Amino acid sequence: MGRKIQKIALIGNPNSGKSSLFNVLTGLSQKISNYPGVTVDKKSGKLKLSSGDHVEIIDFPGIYSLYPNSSDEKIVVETLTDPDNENYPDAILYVAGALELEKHFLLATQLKELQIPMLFCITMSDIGDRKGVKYNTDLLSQYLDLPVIEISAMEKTNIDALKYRLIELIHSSGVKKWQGSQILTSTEQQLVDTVNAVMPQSNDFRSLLIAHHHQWLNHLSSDQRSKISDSLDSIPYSSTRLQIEETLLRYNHFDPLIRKSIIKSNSDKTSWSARIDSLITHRIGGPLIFFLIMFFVFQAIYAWAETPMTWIEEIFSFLSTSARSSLPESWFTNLIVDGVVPGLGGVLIFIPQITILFLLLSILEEAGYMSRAVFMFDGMMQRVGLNGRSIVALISSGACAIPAIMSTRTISNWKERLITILVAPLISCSARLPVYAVLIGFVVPSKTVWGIFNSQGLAFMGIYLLGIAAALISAWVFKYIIKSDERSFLMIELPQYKRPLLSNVLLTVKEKVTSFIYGAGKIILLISIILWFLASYGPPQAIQEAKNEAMSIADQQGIEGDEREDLLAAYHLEASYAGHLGKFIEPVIRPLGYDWKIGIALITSFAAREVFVGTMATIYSVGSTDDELTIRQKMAAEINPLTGKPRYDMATSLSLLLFYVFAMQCMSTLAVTKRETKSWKWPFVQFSFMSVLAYLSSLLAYQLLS
Amino acid sequence: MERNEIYVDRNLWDLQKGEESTVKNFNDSALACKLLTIGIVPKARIAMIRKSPFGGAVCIRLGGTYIAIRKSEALCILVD
Ligand SMILES: Nc1nc2c(ncn2[C@@H]2O[C@H](COP(=O)(O)OP(=O)(O)OP(=O)(O)O)[C@@H](O)[C@H]2O)c(=O)[nH]1
Ligand SMILES: [Mg+2]
Repeated sequence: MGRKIQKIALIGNPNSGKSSLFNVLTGLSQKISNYPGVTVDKKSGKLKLSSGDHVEIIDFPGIYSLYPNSSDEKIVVETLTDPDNENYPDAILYVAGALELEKHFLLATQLKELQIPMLFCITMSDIGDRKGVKYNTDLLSQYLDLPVIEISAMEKTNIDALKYRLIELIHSSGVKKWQGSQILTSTEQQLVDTVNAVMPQSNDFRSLLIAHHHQWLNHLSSDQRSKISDSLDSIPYSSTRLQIEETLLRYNHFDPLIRKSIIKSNSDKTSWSARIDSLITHRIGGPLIFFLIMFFVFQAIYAWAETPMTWIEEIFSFLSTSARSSLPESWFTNLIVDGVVPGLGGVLIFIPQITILFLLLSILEEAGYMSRAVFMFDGMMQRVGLNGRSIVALISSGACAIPAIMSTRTISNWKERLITILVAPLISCSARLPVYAVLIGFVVPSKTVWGIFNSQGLAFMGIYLLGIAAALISAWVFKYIIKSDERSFLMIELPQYKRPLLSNVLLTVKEKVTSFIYGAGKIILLISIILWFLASYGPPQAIQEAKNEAMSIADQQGIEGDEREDLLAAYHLEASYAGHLGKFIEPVIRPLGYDWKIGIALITSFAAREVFVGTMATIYSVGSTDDELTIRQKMAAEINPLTGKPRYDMATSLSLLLFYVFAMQCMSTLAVTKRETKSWKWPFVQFSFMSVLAYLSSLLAYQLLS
Repeated sequence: MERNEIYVDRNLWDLQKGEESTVKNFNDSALACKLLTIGIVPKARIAMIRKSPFGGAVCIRLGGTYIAIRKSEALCILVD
């Protein structure tokens, strides 16, 4: 046997059930959702077959044809036109949804031309059966010259038979030329010859694809690209025309056959899904329902999370006090009690809110709501330079900007995609939740409004709206700054509504929440340890001077006991390295109403904004003897020495809140922007415009209010 | 969007809400190329289901599937 591990690619139209099948085969948990365009990157997993063969299954983004429009679709073509690609499949597992089988033949017949062993799998047979859809699979199999198998990934029917077919597939030898193959026109033959002269291919259709796509295919060297480009210039042809002609010829060829093999199709014109749509996407009712849903989501985050949050709070304050009393007095104990525990606790407390956010969003996705939102808001989005699909990125930005930016790959127009990437981080993500939750209390007192709403919940909603407004307005500005004459378009299926599958929803929530805990936890742990060192130690001379000064003040005023300790600690903190750091940036942030302690938090937040709360907790723990108080209580007790009033008064808190709404404080987002735009320019632009926005709005708020 | 027609053709956007018709042709080859891939081909039966709230898009039915496309794309689909 030649190669050990065979690669099998899952290919098919968007939303046809590829990732669901991938999860069943590999036992992994690739994200699944009832929205065309969930998978935007390839992902591989292992499967051991009963024959002892180890195969690698690769899940790809969905595509309609090998003439792709958007960058997620291009990934598939990039792989299939390059036999040297590490993911080039030894076999294709074609995944077609039972309900709209006829849509799959264009892609399936194109793939046939590539002469890669293939298996045609009709999935979602459970839904097909329920709708009474019936096919003559023998006829299909005969026409495509492929084995055809019907399965259900949800009910796991026929999976063993599928695996058996896979064994046959990887042991089959070579692929004969398909009798349904299309004969190349003379122009196409010229294109093929041109490519073969530069980079000989073993398959003509592959050469043809390379000719059509040579401008963007990454596996071509720049030399190959320019050679192909030069020779193609001398051939009079239009790539679009050829693609249209080829596509139409295919339809003409397979159409009669499909008519014969579909015994009963899904032509249920008054399905309940369509009836729901007439309400959900209604001219007036539709947008109204959308805002009600969003309103509900934010109220829920605030209201439902309160009780579990107090539990977590109590657990951490218990941990702090019991660690203090049971561990011997040492620097290590201090590190644990003042650095690690408050730092972690400050962030883990937001698990309930984040869980609720992800839960509600993934229910919406699984039910099939997202593509309706795309449909409804495309017009509005176009006006501000975005695409209907941007709304999905903006909504998922409410959880985290990173997957949101990834999801923009489905937007085919580069300008619309770029603007979406740039403004998505302005939508308040879950990492800002902790910061808002801590600060809102200082800006808006908690009371009940109109009998049912919580005033802080409303303020919360207001902050989110502010982020949304900022995103839309900046998008509109970018629309005039960024130049492009590429035509934009939109084409998205509205899949049938589904009752959200609990297991899918829980899977997504679990993945998201654990990655939040690990991702945020790691960085917060690291930063709180560093911060604790910076806050506990300082230049020896400065520390000594601060101590002497504090002692003499305490002696003069006769301060004793805990108060004396607190005074010493406060002077110590100011003289520490962290204090020096905070003092260094204080002049820049003083106009915004911040002191050097907040300055320290701003610096640490540049890696990730959720660190703010942990930093606050660590700073105020190091500067105080009391381990039991929550961060909020410690912050509330802080006095501004200049005014003698609370440090976190309305003006400062609002200014700080605004800063966190607008500022770009997330390294990972910048890194993803760099990767998706393939240049340093755009993360730089993103960072700059958001920082300016944050600084100016905080400045304005503070100066007006104080 | 340019529409250089010699005689007046009906396009998808002109259809009444819920009206079904047959695709005849396209008047824009770049857009046609993309629409073809999802099954909007000459002779296909197509229905205009509804226009979107802010007027930018239209929901159509093709066989048993519902698809959202933009106004500019609907304008380029000529129907009987
Ligand atoms: N009833 C039923 N639903 C299924 C089955 N397979 C997938 N689904 C549902 O179909 C929808 C799409 O499934 P995915 O696996 O995300 O589809 P995909 O092909 O990976 O989609 P993209 O990544 O967007 O191209 C989800 O809502 C799934 O729950 C099945 O066998 N039966
Ligand atoms: Mg997928």
